Amino acid sequence: MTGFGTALRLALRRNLVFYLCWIAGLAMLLPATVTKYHDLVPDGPSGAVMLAQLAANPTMRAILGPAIDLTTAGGFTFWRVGTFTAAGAAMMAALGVIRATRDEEENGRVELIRSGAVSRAVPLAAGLALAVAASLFCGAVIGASMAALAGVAGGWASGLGIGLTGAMFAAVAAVVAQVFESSRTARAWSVGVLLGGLYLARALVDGSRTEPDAWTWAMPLDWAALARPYAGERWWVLALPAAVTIVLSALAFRLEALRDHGAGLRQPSLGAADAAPYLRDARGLSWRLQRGGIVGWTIAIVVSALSMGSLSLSMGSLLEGQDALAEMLRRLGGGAGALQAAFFAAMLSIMATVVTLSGVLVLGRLRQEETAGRAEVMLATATSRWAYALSTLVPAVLLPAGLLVATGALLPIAQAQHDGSPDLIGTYTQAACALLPGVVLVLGLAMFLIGWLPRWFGLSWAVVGWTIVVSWLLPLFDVPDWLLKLQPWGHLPHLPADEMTWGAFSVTLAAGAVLLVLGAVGYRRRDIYGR
Amino acid sequence: MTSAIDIAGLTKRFGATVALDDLTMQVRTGQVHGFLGPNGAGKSTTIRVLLGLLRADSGTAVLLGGDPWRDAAALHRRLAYVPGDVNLWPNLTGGEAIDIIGRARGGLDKRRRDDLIARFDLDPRKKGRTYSKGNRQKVALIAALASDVELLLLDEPTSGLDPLMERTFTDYIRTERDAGCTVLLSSHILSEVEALCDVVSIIKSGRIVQTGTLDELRHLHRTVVVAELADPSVVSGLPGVSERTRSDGRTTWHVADEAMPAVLAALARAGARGVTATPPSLEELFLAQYAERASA
Repeated sequence: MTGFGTALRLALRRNLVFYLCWIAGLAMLLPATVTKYHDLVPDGPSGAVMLAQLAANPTMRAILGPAIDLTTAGGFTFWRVGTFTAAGAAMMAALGVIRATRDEEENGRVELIRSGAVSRAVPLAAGLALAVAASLFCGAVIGASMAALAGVAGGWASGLGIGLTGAMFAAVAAVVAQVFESSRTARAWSVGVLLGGLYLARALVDGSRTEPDAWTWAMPLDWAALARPYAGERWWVLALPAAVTIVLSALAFRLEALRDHGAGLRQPSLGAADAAPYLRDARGLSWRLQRGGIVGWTIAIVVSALSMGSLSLSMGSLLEGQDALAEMLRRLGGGAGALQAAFFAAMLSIMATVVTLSGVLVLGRLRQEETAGRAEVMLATATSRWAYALSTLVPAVLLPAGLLVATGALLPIAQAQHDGSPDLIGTYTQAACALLPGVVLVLGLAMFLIGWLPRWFGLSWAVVGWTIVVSWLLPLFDVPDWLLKLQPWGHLPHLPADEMTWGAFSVTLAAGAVLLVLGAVGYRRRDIYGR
Repeated sequence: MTSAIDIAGLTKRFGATVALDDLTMQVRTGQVHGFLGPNGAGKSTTIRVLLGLLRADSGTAVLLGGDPWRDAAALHRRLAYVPGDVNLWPNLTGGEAIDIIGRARGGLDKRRRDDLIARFDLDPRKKGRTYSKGNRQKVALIAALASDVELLLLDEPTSGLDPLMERTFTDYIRTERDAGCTVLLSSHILSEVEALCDVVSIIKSGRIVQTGTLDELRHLHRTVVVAELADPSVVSGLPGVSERTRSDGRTTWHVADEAMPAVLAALARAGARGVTATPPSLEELFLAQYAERASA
């Protein structure tokens, strides 16, 4: 392996920020949850009853994983965020491997490396080694923090389980990267099809049984939980992900030796020689470029709205007598009195931030197309700036708006069916509509940046990130009210608990609309940069 | 004759960098106009101003009788553009890219498109990300040439093509010119410029430093004269002549255009043998500009 050290240093240099960001996010979840355990779960029998109900809820198990032992802070914490964190580590590692191998190869940089005095498999080895090391490092951070906070053995079992799940998917991605020529396809397969598919399979399996059985063991994403952190650790289980990592890594190197540089084991498929009739202007092109994302987002939001909605059925019994928890939910729900209303309001404000993310992603294309030099090609045709901007801006606003309204209609369906009160659907559709100005405001800000300060478009992500923190996390802590209101949705009414306040609604909507128009005007007036 | 492109006193700054510095240039209708200059001289910036992608800080540009900034979309129906660095949509095929660019311009000629695809030997079913640089360039060229337009703006369109494809390109541009199309061709490939262009403009540091037909440009530069002569001083002493090298009895002079008659007469009087007179090649004209830049 001549040149391995150099290649590894190069990979580290190019991916350090990527991994640090991921690890910072992932490693925080377990320690943050375990410190909140005593606020969430009351001592004594009422706490035990609540935990039993939680563990008995199929939707909760489908989302979170098998409920092994929830009676300790560590065990509860691992159930609440452990399997999720493991899947996150898997995603980080898979993306990291594709980034460092197929991406670099597609862009012709691996060619430069391999023309040096470097063994053939070195780029793969460096990318894989770095991803495995990053996964294990992430596990070590989690292990050390949990060991300090909730017990040594369970802490390290949690950390190792998560780290090895990450390592396993680094190896999965290494194999996938040998199969496909394009990094885009390799990414879609390793993260979308394999990791996403396995997470879905795990959800189905865990949701449908109360005790782990053979099917549970067949789910690689459940292995970390099956090692029973904080529930009488079963260390040997951790040999499973380790063994899979080794076998798949060996397979990846074997496959790498079979293919040409730049090629995949599978030939890329050929497409149409002529464009479909709808591909005739910027609008058709935009639909073609965005349709995959639009369809994917729609499916994801519909499924999550329906499944979150079904949780509301068990909400009442779950929170009976749990004043602290109910209070927390009320804070998330913007202060609604009735628990059910608080629950729906909380889910709506969380979903409002998520669907806004879809809008910013769609709008980001306008900027990406410019920096890639493709906007220039379209703007050199009879496409006006205005038409070109609108081709992306319209779906960027309509998609999140439609998804938010759909969320409002879908969330209460299970409850409405159960209570025989279909008017709930109308009520929460209205509630969703009352939040629409916030979506417009964020997109207005993003468009304003594209129009006037294109280099600062990244700020839009920071804004979305901030709204997620404010809507999801801050209400759980004791923070001043003004801070909770310091976000696009801050002053909007939470129907039906609040009165409809047209003032805040109109002001937010108008601000968003003005920013959208200003942004479009700026885009029309400014220079378009090519490559 | 009318002008397809008429630029006067155009200035464009990017921050502290002056990309175009009081640039003045004309392209007459029906001309193939070569646009030469070192990297970073302002060729692409000029073309982008003409396309209304960049807004000039001062000066005027008239394109096909219209304002390239204000009337961009309407003017673009009548012209086609090939960028120097073509980047295609990764998951659209080459054929799809050709169609969308052509249709967005206002339509393309399906028969001409298929003929171009065959002549440029392009597989239109491949995805954009799988094409090499040369093939991406072919996609952009086919998309440009498949429409019936009055003006072609080509920014180093052949830098990734092999010689065979370059020949195909040259043939096509000749056909376009014969059909009355105006072409602005920015290029580094001097043989291509010599073969195609009626008029050449050389741009340096954002200014046009020389413009004219190739013949006119040659007259501005010195002819290289070589001869065997017993006493070279009879030539070297003449005005407009500088002696360069002397070896094996052969002497080389650089001779200004207006001094040629006197030099030829002196050579004949002295009984010189093995006389050659070589007009400057485009390459030399061009290198002379580069050299000035290097010494400046």
